[in-house]
Amino acid sequence: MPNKLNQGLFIIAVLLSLVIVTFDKPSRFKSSPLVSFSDYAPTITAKPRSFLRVDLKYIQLAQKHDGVSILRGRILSQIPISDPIKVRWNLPESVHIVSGSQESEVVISNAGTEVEISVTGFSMEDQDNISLQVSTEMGGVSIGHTATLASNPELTNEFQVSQARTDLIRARSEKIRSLGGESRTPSSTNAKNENIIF
Amino acid sequence: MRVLGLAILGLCALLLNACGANLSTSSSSSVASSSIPETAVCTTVTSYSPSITINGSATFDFRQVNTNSGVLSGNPVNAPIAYAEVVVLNSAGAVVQCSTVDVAGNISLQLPKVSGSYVLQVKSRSNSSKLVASILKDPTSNLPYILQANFSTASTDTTVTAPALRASARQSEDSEIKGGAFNILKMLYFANEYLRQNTSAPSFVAAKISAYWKAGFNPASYFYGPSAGGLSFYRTGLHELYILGGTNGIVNNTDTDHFDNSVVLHEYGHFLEDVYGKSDSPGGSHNGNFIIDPRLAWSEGWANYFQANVIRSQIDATWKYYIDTSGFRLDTVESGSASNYFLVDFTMSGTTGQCYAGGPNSCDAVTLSGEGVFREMSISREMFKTTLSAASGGVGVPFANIWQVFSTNFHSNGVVFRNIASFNQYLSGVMAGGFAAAWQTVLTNEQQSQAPIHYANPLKREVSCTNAQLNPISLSPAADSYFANVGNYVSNLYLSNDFYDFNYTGGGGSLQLAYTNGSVNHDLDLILYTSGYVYFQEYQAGTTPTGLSAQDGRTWAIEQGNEQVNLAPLAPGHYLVAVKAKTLNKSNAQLAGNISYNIKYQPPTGPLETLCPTN
Repeated sequence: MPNKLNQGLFIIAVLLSLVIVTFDKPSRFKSSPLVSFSDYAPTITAKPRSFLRVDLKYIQLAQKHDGVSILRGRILSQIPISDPIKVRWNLPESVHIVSGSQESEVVISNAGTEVEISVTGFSMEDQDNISLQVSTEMGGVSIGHTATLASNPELTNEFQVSQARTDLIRARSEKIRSLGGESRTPSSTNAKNENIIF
Repeated sequence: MRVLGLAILGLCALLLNACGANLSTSSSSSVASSSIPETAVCTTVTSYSPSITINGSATFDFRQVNTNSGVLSGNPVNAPIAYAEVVVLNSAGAVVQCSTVDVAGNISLQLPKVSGSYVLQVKSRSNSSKLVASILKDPTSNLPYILQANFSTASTDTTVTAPALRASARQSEDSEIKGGAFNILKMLYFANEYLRQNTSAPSFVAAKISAYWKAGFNPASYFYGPSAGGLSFYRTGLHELYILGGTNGIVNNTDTDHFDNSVVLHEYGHFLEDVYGKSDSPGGSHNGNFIIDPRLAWSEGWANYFQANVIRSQIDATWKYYIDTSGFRLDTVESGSASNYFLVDFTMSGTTGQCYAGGPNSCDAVTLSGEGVFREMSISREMFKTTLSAASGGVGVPFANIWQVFSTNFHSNGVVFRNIASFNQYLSGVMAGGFAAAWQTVLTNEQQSQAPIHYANPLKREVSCTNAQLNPISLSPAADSYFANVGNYVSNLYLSNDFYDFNYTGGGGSLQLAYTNGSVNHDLDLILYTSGYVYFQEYQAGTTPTGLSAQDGRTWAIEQGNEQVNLAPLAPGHYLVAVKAKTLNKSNAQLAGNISYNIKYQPPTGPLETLCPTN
C-alpha cells in the first residue's frame, strides 16, 4: 500500500508539474493590477478597448423562477457622446420584467451611467443568459457594446476553466507545503501585478 | 467543453485510480490538469499503383464586415480553404493518404484502385510551404476542427469526386461554427502570403503558431476569471493566439473575433513582432485615445498597421481600417444584433484624430511636437500613410523597407527601448531619398519624428551642452489624466516626464539632477529604469515596481532642486533616465510654469560632466 500511495503521489506530482509548466512559461510581467484572479498570468498583448463599454452584475439572483432577480449595468464611454444612447436588455422568452424597461435611452456621464432591471423567470433554477446592449449612431456607424450574465455562472465554460486553474494552483501550493517545501509563486511576485490588456 | 472536461476528467481519474490515491477531484479542476500534445500534421503522401484519383473541394463560410456600417452584415459568404491538412481514413479508421488543400480549395490525391469506403477529412491546420499554423479547440485537447465526408470507390473507377466539404458560419448549421476556425486559418495564410509578396523573401513561411478558438467562448477566462471582458490576445514568447469566440455560448449579439479579420491579424502582428522583430512593450491598457508608454504604443501601432496592409493587399483593395465588431445582422436564416466596437480609418488626419469620416475625434489626435510617439493610432496612421501608394494619397514607401527595419535593425539585441521614433530613424536610412519630402509631411501631420527626441533620447557626455537650448532643459508638467482602463489618474508621460537613454559603462559614480524654479508644486524626481521596466505611477507607491533600478524620490522641501542616484550598485548597460515631475493630486494651475534642469554625471574619476540629449 505505501508503494501504491507513493506511486499515486508521484503521478500527482507529475500532473502538477505539467500544470506548472503550462502556466509558468512566460517570464515578463507588468504592474498595475486591473483584473486580479490568480497568482499568475501571462504577458499578453491584445486589441484596443471598445469605444463604448458596459459591465453587468447581479444585485440579486433568485433561486427559483418566481423570485425576483435584479441586474445592474454600468455604461462607460471613451468617446464624447452627448446624445442619449440606446439601452436594450435581451431577455429570454420566459423572463418577465418586474421593474425597469427593456428598452430605454440614457445620457452617459463621465463617471459612468447605471441602468437596472428586475425580472422574474430568471434564476438558478435553469441555465439562461441575459445580455445588456448599448448602442449609438455616429457617422453612420452603430457603435455599441454588450455584456452577458448567466443565471448559473458556475455552469459556463468560462467559469469551469477559470475554476480549474484556481484549483490546480491551490492544490499545487498545498502539495508543496505538505512535502515540506515553500509554496513557490509560479514565476515571481510580480506575477500578482499582471494586468489584462483590453 | 463539457465533453472535453469529461474526457480529461476520465484521464485524470484513470491515473488517480490506477495509483490508488484517495483524492477527489472535480470535473472543473480536471479540465486544465493535463494537456494532450497536438498530433503531428500528416504530410506523408503515399504512392499507389494502380491508383484512383480522388478529387474534392473544401470551402468555408464567413461573415463579411460592411465598412460603412462597421458591423458584420448579411448572409455568410463562401471562400476556398487554403493549404489545410487533408487526411483519408479507410473503413477501419486507419490513415491511408494525406495531402494538402491547394490555394483554390481543391483536393486531389491518389488511393489504391480497389473497392473501398473512406472518410475524407480536412483539418484546421497546415504544415505546408505556405503556412505553418494550427487552429485548435483549446490548449488542453489541442484538437483541430475537422470537416469530413464519406465516399467510396470501386475497383473499376479511375476518378472519384468526393462530396464537397464546407465549414459553416452559422450556429444553426454547425454548433462548432467551423467557418470561424477556417477563417482564422485563412487570415494567417494571407499574412504569410502578404509577407512573401512584399518582402525580399518570396519563400517566407512564418514559424508555427497555435491559435486557440472556440465558438461562444471567451479565452480571457483561461487566465483572468469567468467575468473577464471578451478578449483576443497573443501570449508573448509562446507562439499562442487566443481568439474570442463569444461569451457564455453566445455568438449572435456579443463580441466575437473569429470573423473580425482586423483582430485576428492584429494579434498575428504581435506574433511576428515577437518572433521576427523584437518587442520591448511592457503591455498595459490601451484604448486608441490616450498617451501611453511609447514601447506599448509602438507595438500596438505596428499590429494595427500590419492588419490593415494585409487586408488591403489580400482581401479588399480599398481597406484602410481597423474594425472590431460585435454580433451580426441581416442574416436571413439566423437572428442577430450587431454593433461596432472600434473603427479607425488610418487615412484620417492626425491633427483631428477623427476615427472615421463622420466619426468622433477620439482616435489619438496629436497637436504637440513628438506627441505621436506616445499614441498608438498616430503610429498606425503614420505607417499606413507611409506605405500607401502615392496614387492613393500615401508616400509609397515599399513595405519591404518597413520589414527590413522591423526584422533586422529592430531584431537586433543592441536596440533598446524600441519606439516609433527609433524605428523612423532606421527607416530613413533604408528608404529611397525620393520619398523624403512626402514622408516628412506625414510625420509632421502625425507629430512624429525621425529620431528619438521625446523618448529614449540618447545622452552624451559633454562639459556643457553644446546646444545652448539644452542649457538648461525645460519641462512643463501637466495634471494627471484619468485613465478609465486602469481606473486611476496617471502621469502624462509626454508632458510631465522626459526620458533619456543613458549608456552606463560601469565603474560607479553618480547621476545628478539639478533644477531651478523648484517648489512644492514644481518637484522633480530622478529615476533610472532598466530594459523591461514598467513605468511606476505615483499612485502605486507602496507596491513593488518592475525594472526600477534607482531613484531619488525626495521631495523638493528636502532636496531643494538637487537629486542624485548612486550608480555603483548598477550593472553596466542602457538605462532609461526619467526626469519626472511629481503631479499626483496637483492641478494644472498648481503645475503651471516651466522647470529648468540639467542632468550631470559624476564619473568614478575626473570632473563632473553634463549629460546632453543627442537629438
